[in-house]
Amino acid sequence: MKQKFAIFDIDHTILSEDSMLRFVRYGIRRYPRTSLNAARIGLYTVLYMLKLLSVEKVKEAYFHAIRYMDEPDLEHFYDTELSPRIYEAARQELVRVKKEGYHILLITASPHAYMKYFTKLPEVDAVIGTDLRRTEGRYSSAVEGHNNKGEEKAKRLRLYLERHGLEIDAEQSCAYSDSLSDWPLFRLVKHRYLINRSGAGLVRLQWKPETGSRRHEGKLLMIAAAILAATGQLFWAWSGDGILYLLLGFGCYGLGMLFMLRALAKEKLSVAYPLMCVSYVVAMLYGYWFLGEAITMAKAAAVVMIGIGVALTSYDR
Amino acid sequence: MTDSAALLLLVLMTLFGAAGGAMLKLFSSTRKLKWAACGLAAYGSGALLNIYLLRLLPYTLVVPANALTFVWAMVLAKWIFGERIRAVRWAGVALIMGGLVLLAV
Repeated sequence: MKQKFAIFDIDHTILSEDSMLRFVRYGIRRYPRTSLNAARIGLYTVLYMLKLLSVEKVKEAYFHAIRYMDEPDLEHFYDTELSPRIYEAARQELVRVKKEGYHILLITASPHAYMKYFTKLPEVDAVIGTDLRRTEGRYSSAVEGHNNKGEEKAKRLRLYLERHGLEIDAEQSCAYSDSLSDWPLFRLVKHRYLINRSGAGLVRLQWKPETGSRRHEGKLLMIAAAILAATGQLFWAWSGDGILYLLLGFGCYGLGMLFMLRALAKEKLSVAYPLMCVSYVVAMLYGYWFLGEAITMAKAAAVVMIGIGVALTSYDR
Repeated sequence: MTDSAALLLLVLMTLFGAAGGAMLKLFSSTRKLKWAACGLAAYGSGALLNIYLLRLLPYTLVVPANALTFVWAMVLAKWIFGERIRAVRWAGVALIMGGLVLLAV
């Protein structure tokens, strides 16, 4: 059956950065014993540039830390390091082409081991990546078969089509990449988009990483939620004086809850939860201004202790 | 009502909050409506207890006591979702408890 396809590269196409470098940093942070491996990465990279080493071998050094990770680690890597770096324009494009009935494939040279979590985006039908050898349910950093780049991408796409009994409707299909090495994919479709670069025969798309204010949106929402929580409870403290205060309290409570849910969708817990402590500081001030509850050294110390405590309980490398 | 009974209710209030969160999380993974209903009911009960307690206890104690919700959420995550808890997070629990004791005495 002929089907229209939308094919995307991932690094620097859907993501504003390179996932491999993020992975190296993440690995060292989470498993500090792998830091010595940085020396091997440097050495192998030089040897690779001198064409003394295969790309598969170099990748083995870059993905060394994966041997210590289990699935929750890899999913956590996707959630905290990759998902926040998806171009907003890429998200919108995925939604748009899905609505138009495209079959969406992400084809990447990076490991399927963590890139497979891109299927958490409801639009994505499948992710095809470089395979890493598995032993006893864990990944090793050794590349299984070939690095999924250039011709290999087109080869694996054909394999995917065969396996699912599909055929590309080239006239209607499109491909997105930041690299000319993806010409083997571009050749299979009529509509070819190059991200943030110009190339002969390719349509240039300009996708921008999230700007500062958008990046901090989650934090601002969380602070607003914290202030609303303190305010709502202040109204409730007055609820003996009339039903209006009770209702105002519920209004703040509901709005605060909504803000918090929005914030949690945008920000990781280890950042969002400690910001909730803003509400305790605001409460101390409200209590002093409106309720005549004194701010003592003991109370101030308690708020600091609780703040540090919440930061530690939501700590997450 | 004695102060210690009110403090107990305060602990219960935060337990309701955390249980509500855990049940909504169960809803999002199982898509079973009963978890959404139970979750909202738990949140609602927590809010009602909150209103009641604000009439019994100082406002500047009740608001920070909400931090206990994070402790319960962690304990529930360990029980229900089998999450591993690192030592540093237990240290956080100790600090929260210490801060609340400081506020309550």
